[in-house]
This record gives sequence, structure tokens and C-alpha cells, in this order.
Amino acid sequence: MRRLGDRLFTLFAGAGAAVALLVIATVVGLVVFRGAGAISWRFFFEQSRAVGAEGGVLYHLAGTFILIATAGMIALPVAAGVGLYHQLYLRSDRGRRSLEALLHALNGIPSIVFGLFGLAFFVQLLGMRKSWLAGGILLAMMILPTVTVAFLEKLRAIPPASVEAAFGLGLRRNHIAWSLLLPQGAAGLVTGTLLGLARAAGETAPIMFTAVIFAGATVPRGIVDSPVLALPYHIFVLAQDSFDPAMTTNMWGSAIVLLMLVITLSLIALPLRLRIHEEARRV
Amino acid sequence: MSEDDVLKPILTIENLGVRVRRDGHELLRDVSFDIPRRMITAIIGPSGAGKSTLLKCINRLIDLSSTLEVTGRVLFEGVDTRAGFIDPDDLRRRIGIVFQQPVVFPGSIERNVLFAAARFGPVDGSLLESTLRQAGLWSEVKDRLQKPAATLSVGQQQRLALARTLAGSPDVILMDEPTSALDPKSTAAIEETIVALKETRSIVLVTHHLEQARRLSDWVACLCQRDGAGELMEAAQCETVFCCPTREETMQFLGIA
Repeated sequence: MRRLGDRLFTLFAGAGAAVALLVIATVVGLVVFRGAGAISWRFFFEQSRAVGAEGGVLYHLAGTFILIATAGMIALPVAAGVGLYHQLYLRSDRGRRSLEALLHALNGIPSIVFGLFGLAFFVQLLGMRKSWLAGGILLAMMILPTVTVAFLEKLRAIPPASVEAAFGLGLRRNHIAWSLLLPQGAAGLVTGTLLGLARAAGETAPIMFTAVIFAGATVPRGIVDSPVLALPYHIFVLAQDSFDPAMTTNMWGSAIVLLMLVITLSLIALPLRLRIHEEARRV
Repeated sequence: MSEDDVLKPILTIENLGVRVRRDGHELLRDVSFDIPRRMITAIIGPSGAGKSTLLKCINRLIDLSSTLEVTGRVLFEGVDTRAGFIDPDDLRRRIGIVFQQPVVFPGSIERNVLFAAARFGPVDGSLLESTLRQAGLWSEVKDRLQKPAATLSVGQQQRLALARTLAGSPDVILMDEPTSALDPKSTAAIEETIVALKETRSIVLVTHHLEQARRLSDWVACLCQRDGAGELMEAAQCETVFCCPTREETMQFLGIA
């Protein structure tokens, strides 16, 4: 009977893993199958022409990089601040739990709501109009919980006795942050940022009202009224108007590029996390 | 320092109490005694008598626990450690602490010793060697200062923690059962170091080992639990407490009654 139970459990776990693999393989397979025809060097280095039916995704890729790089540069230091505040300055459990609840609530806000907020706040109230900076800030707000939670996870792994010993030596909080918490938590911070950026790269809703246009932009030359092109919005618009077969192929080709970007960011995250963790142990 | 100053206690504990904020449960009640300068003061007592809590009140490490409330006063060189102008970080630098379980930070032996000192300002070139010598560890590690501190034995790690505390030049060193996790050889090494340190510093040693307290200390404070809270039973010269305790609880703890 115990052996049967063990086999059933193995079957159940194996089936779960198989379904997950099947889902990934199906999605990647379909995207590659439909878009492979569009992929060439020229697709990466040419700008889009004929309303997306011809040319490549050079400026869409550049715009996506600008948006996620901005988001990363904003989210990383803010998440570091939130994590250090949580560990070093919030002394009561209630305060810590409230901050964690706030992060989870932020994580649960639908991306379209972020988009509407960005429209009302950055575009209309601050008068930024469509701007890469507005989009970057919105994406940073969206990924902040992911980055912070990954950082907190690493900070929690630091033995409380180590932090107490550091206080016992007379070190100030900023010293403890620099010499103990940040080196030990850096792996979580970097991993969280990469995973957050992988998510941000594929978001359409937060940037469609605030940062991107379909055509006519290259690289931004200012901050206000300086939109960019982006892969997810490009795919979104082509999907709506894909009456032309060439446009459809380019749409799936863009999806391959976006998928490659997201998978690359995710794949970098894991080994980098291990490497930083090992370096922190050796310092 | 004048002769009068030498005779003055370095620490004075006045009506010290600690209780849990939420339910008012008392951990320490009305503890008062002096800690003499450049001597070893042992704090003894059964488990749960609040010895470690008392130690953390002295250098305000207890402030890190938001659930506890402290009443009474601790005077360091005659100044209330809770006075508004006192910086708790500076206070902890002058009143160092060594814990029961040795804490080793990631990195090399050298980085561990200079962990705090390097943050306090320029480090004298001889500081590393002098503190490791004071902690009785120099001869064992001088050829592998760049090796990870985690590779040291537990006894060596405890002496490393002591060297790290000494590198901050504290006037007082609080020791919370520093030898309870160590083998007899490492215990002997630490004890030797403690005795040598009292030439230049005041030591407060929390210990479960009565023989150790008797062997090392000049003064002894005995805490026992009464109605759930730690209270001071005796505080006097070592031989006075061990030979002629006045309180029944002390006698029971010492096994005299």
C-alpha cells in the first residue's frame, strides 16, 4: 500500500512537471513556428516601415531597453532602501508586517491601473506628455515589490546574531548596511531586479498611455514629450490590425525577440545570484 | 586617572527593571549594584534569572528589542546611559560585548578583526597584531590572516570575536557565557585572556560555571528568580559571596543550603 502511494505521488509530481514543460514548449514552439520567417540580422538592425509590414524592430528594441533600464535604475536603489529600512529601522513586528502587506498590495495592482495612474499623474498632472521617463518610473513602481521581496529574502537569511554582534561593536546602522547587509543581500537585489525587468519588458498596459507610440520615434532627445517605441506595444497594435500576412509574420517575429529578451534576463538571474552569493561569502 | 577615580565604580546599576511591554511580565526587578573598575565582575545565577538581559541593558543592546521596556538607570562613569545626549552606538563602542556563540562575519580573519575598527577611522598598522595577541590568537593565525574566518575552530572563533571587540578599544567588556560552547582547552585559553585583560579593562562575565566565577572574578553578583522576575540576591567580593552568602536563594543556588 505504501509503495502504491509512493508511485502515485511520483506520478502526480511527474505529471505536474510535464504539464509545466508542455506549456512552455507549446508557447515557445508556436511563437518560433509563426515568427521564424521574420528573423534575420536585418530584422534586428532595421527600423519598422510600412506600418510594421516591412523592416525590423531596431527602435522598438532600443525603446524597450531604455524603458527597462530606467525601471531597473530606479527600482534597484529604492528596493535597497525599503529592504534596509525593513531590517534595520523598523523595530516592531507590526511595522514590518505592515510594510510587507503594502508591498504585496502594490504587487497586486493590475497593470492597467498603473497605466491609468501614469496617464493622470505623469502625463496630465505633471505635464510630461508621453515620455520614456514616465514609462520607466511606472515600470519601476510595478517591479518594486518583486525586487524588494527578493532582497528581503536574502536579508532574512543573515543570522540575527550577526546583526546583533555588529550593533554590539558600536557600528551605526549605515555601517551595518554597507558592511554586512548589502554584501549579503546583493544577490537577492540583482536577481529580483532581473526577474522584475523580465516582467517589465513584456508589459503593455502601463506604457501604452504614458511612454510609447506606434511609429515615428527613434531615440529620445529629451524628457518631456519624448516617447519611444516598444516591442510589447508594437505586437499589441499589429495583433489588432494584422490583415496583411507580412504584418502577421513581423508580429510573431517581434514576439520571438521579446521572448528572447525575457528568457535571457531570467537565465542571467540564476547564475548571477549564485556567483554574487559566493563572492559575498569570500569577501 | 587619579586614585579617587580608580576607586569609583565604572558602572553603577540603579533600580534596573525590564518588562515585556505587551503583558507587563517582569524579566528583571529592582536590580542595583556597582561594577568596579579594572576588575572581573561575575554575574551568576540559575537559567532565567535575567543575567543576559542585564548585560544587554548595560550597553543598551536591549534597545534593539522593541517588545521590552527598561526602567531604572545604568551609570557609566557617573553618567546616565539613557541621557538624551548619549549616543547608543558610541556607548556600545566603549562597552563591548562578546556573546555565548561566537559570531563570525563573512570574509577573512583580518577583515573580521578590523570589521568595526576600520569603520571608526584610520586603522593603526599594529592594531591587527596587538588585538590578536591580546586575545591569545596571534600565534595560531599569523600565517593565515587572509583565510576565511569560518575555517577557524569554535574556540578560535570565540577568541577572534574577542579580538574584534578589543579592536574598538572598549573600556568595559561584557562577556555572556563566553566559554559555554567551548572545549576545556579553548576555555582555558579564553580564561587566561580574561585575566590578562583586567589589567587594562573592566570585565563583566556572565557564567553558569561557579568554579569559573570563583577562579576568575574579583566581585560577584548573584541573580535569582523571584515571582517570575530576576532579582539581585548578593553583590560583594567573590569570596564573601561564595563563603558567606546572606540570602537563602543564593545558598540554594550555590548548593550550600
